[in-house]
Amino acid sequence: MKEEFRDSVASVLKAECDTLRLHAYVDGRNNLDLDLWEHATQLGWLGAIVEEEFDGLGQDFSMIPLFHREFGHYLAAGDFISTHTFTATLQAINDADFSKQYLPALAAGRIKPLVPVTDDHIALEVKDGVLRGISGPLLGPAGASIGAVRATAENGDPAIAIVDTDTRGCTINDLPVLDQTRRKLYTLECSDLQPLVVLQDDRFKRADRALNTSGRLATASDSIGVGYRALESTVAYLSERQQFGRPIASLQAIQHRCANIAKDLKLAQCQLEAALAQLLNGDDDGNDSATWIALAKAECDEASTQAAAESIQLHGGVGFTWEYDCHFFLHRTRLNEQFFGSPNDLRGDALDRLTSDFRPTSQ
Amino acid sequence: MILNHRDDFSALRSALRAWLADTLPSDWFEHMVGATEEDSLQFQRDWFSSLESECLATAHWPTRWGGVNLSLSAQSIIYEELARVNAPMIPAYVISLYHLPATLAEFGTPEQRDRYLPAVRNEGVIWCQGFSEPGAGSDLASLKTQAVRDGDYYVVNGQKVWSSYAHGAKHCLLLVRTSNEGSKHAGITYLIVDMDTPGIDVRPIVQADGARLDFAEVFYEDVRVPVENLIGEENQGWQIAQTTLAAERGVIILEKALRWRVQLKTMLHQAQQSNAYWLQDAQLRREYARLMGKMEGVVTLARRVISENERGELRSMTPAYTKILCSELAQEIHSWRARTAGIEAQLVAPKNHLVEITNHPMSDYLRSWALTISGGSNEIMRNLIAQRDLGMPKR
Ligand SMILES: Cc1cc2nc3c(=O)[nH]c(=O)nc-3n(C[C@H](O)[C@H](O)[C@H](O)COP(=O)(O)OP(=O)(O)OC[C@H]3O[C@@H](n4cnc5c(N)ncnc54)[C@H](O)[C@@H]3O)c2cc1C
Repeated sequence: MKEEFRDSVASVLKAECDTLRLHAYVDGRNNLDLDLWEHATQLGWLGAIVEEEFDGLGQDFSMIPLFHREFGHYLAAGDFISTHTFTATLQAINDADFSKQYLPALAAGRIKPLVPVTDDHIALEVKDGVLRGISGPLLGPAGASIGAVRATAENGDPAIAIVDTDTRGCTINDLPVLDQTRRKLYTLECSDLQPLVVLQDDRFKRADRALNTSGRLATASDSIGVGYRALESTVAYLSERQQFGRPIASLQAIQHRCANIAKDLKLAQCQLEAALAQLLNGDDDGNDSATWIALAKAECDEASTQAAAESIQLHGGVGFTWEYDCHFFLHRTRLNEQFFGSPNDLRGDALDRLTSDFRPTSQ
Repeated sequence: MILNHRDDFSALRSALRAWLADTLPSDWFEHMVGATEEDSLQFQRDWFSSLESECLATAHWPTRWGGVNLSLSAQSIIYEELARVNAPMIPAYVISLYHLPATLAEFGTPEQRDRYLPAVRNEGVIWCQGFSEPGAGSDLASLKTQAVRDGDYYVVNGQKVWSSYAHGAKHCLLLVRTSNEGSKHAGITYLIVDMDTPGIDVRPIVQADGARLDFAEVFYEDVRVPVENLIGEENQGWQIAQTTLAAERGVIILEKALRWRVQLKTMLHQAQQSNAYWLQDAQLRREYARLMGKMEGVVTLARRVISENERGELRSMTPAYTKILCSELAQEIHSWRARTAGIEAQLVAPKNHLVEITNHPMSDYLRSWALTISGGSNEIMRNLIAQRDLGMPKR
């Protein structure tokens, strides 16, 4: 089932999201993001982790990496991370009415969600039950109609609010990004906006955890996909390009740089697989799988950024052109690094967690 | 027998814990701090025989190696429990436990298997490996040590180098040249040599960290080796050597990785216990977390090498990736330790060599090059990855 799913995602993206179309999209000559969304809804991709009773495929989180690695590999235009992340967040709240109302629509791609990609919650306040202020950066496809935003609750604690963005008092602002395969993030400007729900305390913790877990798995996998794509295109280019009467790929200095990229990607990917296994099997050894997912995400993003950076250098002059894909790779992985925790933040948090259960033993 | 619990993991764990608590002397660590190489070797022999009384040292041997064919999960549990109490390592037994059985199982005669494998289990016989020569390191196939047939004997002349534990070994797995015709790979032959045969001279080489008996150069002068000691056929040695070398990229790496993983957690708790200064340093905290994260990936990879072996996926590139990543991570860990330990790490202090992470970070750091150089250097692994996995052209 999983392999079939991945193969079908890969073959559709291969056909629909080739380099020429992607460049045309970037230059504003097609609506590739909308086309891909259309395919995704028709093929049921968006309901991968939605329960069958809500018209989804009823699969576990292991679908997320399968899916997003392919999306990263083909530098898919638009955003698909937010749907899986928003779905996981709703599932964690486990509210029967919400689930019934929104999960089938999410699975069918009828509603497009926004999700927060940073911990920013200071400038958006809950006061007297309504939201005021402006959210941090949000990720999602164009035309979103629902969103999860981070906000400060009345007691000063961080909270997550779910909002219908078509409600009065809600404006979606564009936040253009350098990554042209995704074009923009958004912020939500709220003036006395009535949220659907404000999640605090235990419900906040569950939602926050689900959002981070799914968001990090998806982003890390997207990065790995981009990283391997960068490596493949680089090796292919190096094998064709001749200098000094031989393919550059036959030079050992070049070979070792490629091998270094390959082994760093391999380690990052294994880390991600290990973390996923810990999440699914509870093979936790006393430690929270969230710690290992966070560390794996940091490694995947960095290894892929390195792969992208090397692809520019190893392509020479053409790597420095708009026409080649190298800058897409680098923009995409660098943006990924900032989603759901930067490598620095994630590693710092991880050590906090790893040391948090410490009780000094008396000497 | 502990291994009667092989299918019930929690019972297996309890049995191992109980056995270790009973068997491993509580003062063994202090006892081995600053021990002479001779004492350390004797200690390894004793610990090996304790382990073997429960078949624990050879538990990974598949049935065709004359072992119990323990599952990968059960084997991992043994390693984890040994790691948890930081039980002694037995580096002198590496060739006896991994290279020898892999080689004989595939290419040895029934007589050779019956003679040598039980002797490892019952008598704790130590073997060494005589492959490298002064002129043949990464380019192993250019080896020159010569063997000439003389009746029922081969007469061996030449020099080997870097033979680990040659000093304590009873036998050697030796590669020799029997022909200069055809390609250099085609004239290599694989012999078993008794180290007490006249004409063998073992001269220990002092290691960079000062250890005196860990490896040696070995001179062969008119050494007569009976033809029954031939492994496989004459001039088939190169192919057989590949099997020997493959054995070194399997469970050995998993055992080390699992030990490092446990030690990383232990060291973190120790740091908290002693309120180590680096816990106040945000950058060092991040670096430590990163090492722990990478360790999870390396353990996963090391497990994959073994499961691929079991499925017979012989052309997989996983071992090459694992070799580089595992040795580099070890080096990073020790480098981090040496860097953060302050000037203390630069002071002379007696140490215990029989654990993966000793009380002496600088010395562990220096020793980590044993992993990046030997067993196919990391540069050779990069060549393999580039050419075989990425398909980059040789020239
Ligand atoms: C601790 C330790 C224990 C050992 N134990 C044993 C043992 O028990 N038995 C045994 O037979 N041998 C043993 N060895 C030897 C080991 O296998 C060799 O050291 C290894 O194969 C490298 O050979 P070399 O030392 O001659 O280095 P060289 O081959 O001379 O290499 C020198 C440097 O050049 C690089 N290099 C070489 N060729 C290439 C190439 N084609 N492309 C790119 N870079 C290249 C190497 O990576 C290295 O960095 C041991 C070594 C060590 C360090």
